[in-house]
Amino acid sequence: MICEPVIETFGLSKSYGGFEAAKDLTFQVLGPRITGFLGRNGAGKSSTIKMLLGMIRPTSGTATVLGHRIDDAKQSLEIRRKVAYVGEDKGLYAYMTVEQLIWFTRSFYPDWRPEIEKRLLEEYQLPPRRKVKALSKGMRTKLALLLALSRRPALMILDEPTEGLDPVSIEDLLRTITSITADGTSVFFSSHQLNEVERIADAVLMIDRGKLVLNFAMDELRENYRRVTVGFDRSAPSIDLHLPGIERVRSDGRQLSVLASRNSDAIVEWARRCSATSIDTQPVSLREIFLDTVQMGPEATSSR
Amino acid sequence: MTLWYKTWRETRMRFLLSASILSWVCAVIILTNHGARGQANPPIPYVEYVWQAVYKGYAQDFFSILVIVLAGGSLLQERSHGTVGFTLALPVSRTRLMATRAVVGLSQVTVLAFLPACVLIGLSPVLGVFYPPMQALQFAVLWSAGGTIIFAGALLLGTVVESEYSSWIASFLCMMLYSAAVNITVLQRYPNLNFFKMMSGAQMPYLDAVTFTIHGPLPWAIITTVLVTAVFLMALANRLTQLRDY
Amino acid sequence: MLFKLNPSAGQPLYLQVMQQVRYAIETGVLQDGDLMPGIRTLAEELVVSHNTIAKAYTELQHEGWLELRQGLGAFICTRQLTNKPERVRVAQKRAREFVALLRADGFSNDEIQRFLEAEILFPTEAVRK
Repeated sequence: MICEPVIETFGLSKSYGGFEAAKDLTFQVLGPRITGFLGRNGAGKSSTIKMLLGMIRPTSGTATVLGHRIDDAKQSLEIRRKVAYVGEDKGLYAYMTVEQLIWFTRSFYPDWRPEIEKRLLEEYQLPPRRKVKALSKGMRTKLALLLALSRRPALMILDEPTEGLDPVSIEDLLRTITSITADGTSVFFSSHQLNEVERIADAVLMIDRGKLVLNFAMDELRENYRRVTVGFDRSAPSIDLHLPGIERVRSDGRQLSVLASRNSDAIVEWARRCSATSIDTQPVSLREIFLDTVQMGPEATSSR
Repeated sequence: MTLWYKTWRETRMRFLLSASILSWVCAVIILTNHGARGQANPPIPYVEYVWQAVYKGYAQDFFSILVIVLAGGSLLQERSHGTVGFTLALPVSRTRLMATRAVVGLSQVTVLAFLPACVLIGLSPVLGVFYPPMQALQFAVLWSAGGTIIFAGALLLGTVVESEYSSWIASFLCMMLYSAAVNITVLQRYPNLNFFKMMSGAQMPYLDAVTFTIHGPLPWAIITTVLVTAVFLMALANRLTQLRDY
Repeated sequence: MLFKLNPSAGQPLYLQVMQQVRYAIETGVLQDGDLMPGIRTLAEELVVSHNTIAKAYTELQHEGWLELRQGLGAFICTRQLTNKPERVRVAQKRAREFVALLRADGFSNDEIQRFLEAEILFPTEAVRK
């Protein structure tokens, strides 16, 4: 399957006074596929997304979305015409009714799909004449999603889309996301729900303290990332950090824990040659790698 | 276009309220005219009374404040409502958003400017007094120009001060400072710089100081300058909006 | 056919799908000529990325287990299967006996699993130490 970049950033940075929300971000988001965007609160996810959509100006660096540059006003407008966005706050005009808001939004997008709008209105059980301010949080989220999904955009950017939804609705949303990729829409969504990301994402980007710390395809994670735990009957020798694939090493007396992004076989080999008494290789879950990366910071190694 | 509808909906309540308040103020002035005029001896002519109370007096003050209130509620204030993300994600330029806001607002200001004329023409005969319609309309034109620049200034401040109420207060204070500057400092030597005077015609050559009516042509040069300045202020507001992060 | 995918199992999801399809064929759950659900349908049902199922189907097609008939869908094709169910039954029996042996020696299930994994992943060479 041919993957084209739908988002490309080049050294994208944003600083507010002394605080760096985004630092030199250079990455590609390919499509049509589902890319998860991970990071703790305040790590810079929303700032990055807002820069892509022209709501915030980068301090330096640039980016293109669907081939259009973000720093040109006209091209930025084109980006917004082709991208469906559901923001974190999911704020909608409280004084409009559901059907008024749909009528309002529909007028801006030539790619609107009335049949999807109709189906979702029914599926989400949104009362057309009720004012947005009288809707519950969950319903407001669903309305925001309806407005984004009733089109066939080339790219959908979702910032914490499942927040405030009950499990059944979350399942429905995930199902919807997977089905729109079948039609060629790429999805870029940020989430704290690692299980969700793990299930449906094809690739994952992670940002911590403004910096890009992880960027891999999920299959790569599953196939190649391994945690090798090695035990010795004496004080653990230090491992040659130049072995390819070593991401992080933690040592604790007689044990070594190595996080490898590939090539775990070579690490096992090394352990054998050093006469390790126990070698255990386990796959790495997304949660593990997230917590590991975030706790350790950008350094490659640490010892307790 | 749906953008007009959105802007109208967002300003509808305050516009209707402003229109009601201004109409009510003018109505009260007219309804109490006999009593108020009779306090002097000989009684003040109706036309002079109207000028003192409406075009130079309370009504003008109310008008200025209501225009400031009308100018609130732009993008920056949307941020506190949480809807700015939605609005800015739409495929419309910020300039278009500002322009729509300005056009709707200025239309509302113009309606407000013509309200006293409507009330005067409609209500005066009921009390057996007469106010020349042409006069009322000419003052309406002057008020439209004055209202435009007040609106422009308040709009500009609204792009800088986030809270709506704070932006109103800031605009009001600026207006007071301006008023003080043109009435008290050396600038008082240049009554053409005082748009309040333009609106009322006080100490202006086109107002007859005896009959308190406008005679001769309207001061188109001053009106044009005021409007051009207003446009400049709004352009500045637009530029600031372009540069801001939301 | 019922799939059970484990996103954290350390194996790409598309491989899991392929494995489960192959196993189903071996055990006769899926038989020659059975129609598989469409890629989109299956992706929605399992709530996984469309690409995952697409890749699985493509690979299965390359291996010869799936036959894509234009306009009709993906059909199971067991031409390469020879007596598989019998082989599987024999293998399962052997595994059962082996595990029983180890259990009798006092090893726990976890330990038995580790022995097997170690052997599969890193087969020890006879000439060592």
